[in-house]
Amino acid sequence: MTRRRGGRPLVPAYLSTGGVARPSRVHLERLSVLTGSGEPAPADLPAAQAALLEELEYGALTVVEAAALLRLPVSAVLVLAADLVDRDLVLSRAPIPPARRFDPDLLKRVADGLRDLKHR
Amino acid sequence: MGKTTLIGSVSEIRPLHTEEQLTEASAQVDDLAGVRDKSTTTVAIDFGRISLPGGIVLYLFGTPGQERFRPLWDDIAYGALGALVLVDARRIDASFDVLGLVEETGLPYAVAFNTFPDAPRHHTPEQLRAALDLEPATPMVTCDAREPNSSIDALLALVQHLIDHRPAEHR
Amino acid sequence: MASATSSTVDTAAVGDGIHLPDTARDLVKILVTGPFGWARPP
Repeated sequence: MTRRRGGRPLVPAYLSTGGVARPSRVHLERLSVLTGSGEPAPADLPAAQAALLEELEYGALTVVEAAALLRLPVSAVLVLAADLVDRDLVLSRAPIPPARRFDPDLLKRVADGLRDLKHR
Repeated sequence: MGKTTLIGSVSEIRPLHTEEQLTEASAQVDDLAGVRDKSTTTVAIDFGRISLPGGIVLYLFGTPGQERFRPLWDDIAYGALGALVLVDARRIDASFDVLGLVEETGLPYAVAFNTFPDAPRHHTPEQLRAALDLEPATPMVTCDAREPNSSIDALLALVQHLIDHRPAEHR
Repeated sequence: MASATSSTVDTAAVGDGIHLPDTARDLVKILVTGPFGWARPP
C-alpha cells in the first residue's frame, strides 16, 4: 500500500488502475497535459480516478506530475487518465510530436530562453 | 546523485519523482517447471521543469545510467530532445556504460564533466575526450551541477549541438 | 464533485506552483543521466 506523508493511505497500487481493462481511444504519454473538462463526475467514479480528477481541479498537470503528486507509477496514471478522457471528464493535449524535436525554431527558442535565465 | 543536483539547480518546481517498477526476469537453473523467477526493482526517476518564453516548458528527467534500466530508458527517452551525460572524471569506466546506453537509444547527447574549483585535474579535456572515445562533434563541457549558471551552460551546449547537428532530413 | 472523493490530494500541490500555467504549449524534455556516485567535492 502506498502511503502519503501524514499516514493517510492512497488507493493500493494493485487497485490503482480503477478496474479499467478495455483499451482507450486516446494516446497518452508522460508529458501529455491533463485538464479537467468541467463536467460533473458520476457518483460511482472509482476512487483512483476521483483522486486524479481532484488533483486537476487546481490546474493542469502532465501525467508525470500527477503521478508524482499521487505517488503512483506513471503506468497507473496513464490508465486512469485514459479512462477519465474516455468518460469526458478530462481533456488531454499532446506535448510536441516527436518530429518537432528537430524544429530549428523551437530549439532556438529553447536556447534563447535558457540563455535569458542565467543570473548576471 | 549529480543528476538530481543539476535538475534541482535549475528547476522552477521542487524536484519531483515518480517510482517506476522494473521487472527483471532471471533464469532459475534448477527450476523444473521452466518458470522464470521475476524480481521487481523500484527506481525513482527525479524530474524538474523550466518554463521558457513562448509557452515552452522544458522538463528534465534524471535517468539512471545502468544497462538494466534500458527498458525504462526507451520509455522515458521517447520524443526527448537529447541527453546530457554527466561524467565523473574520476570514474571513466562507469561513464562508458552510460554512453553506450545513450548511443544505443539514438539520442543526441552532450557530455558534462564535473569540476570543482579546488579539485585536482586528473585529465586534460583532450585526454578525457579521448578516454571516452567521443565523436569530435559531441560537446564536452565542464559543469558544477550545484551552480545554476553552470547547469544552464551544460544544457545550452546540448541544445546548440541539437541545432547544429539536426538529421539531414530535418534541415 | 462526487462524494466518493477521498481527500487524498497532496495539498502541498496547491499554491506550490506545480500545476502548469495556462500558457504552457510546447512541452519538451531532456534526459540528464550519468553513472552512480557523482563525487562530492572534498
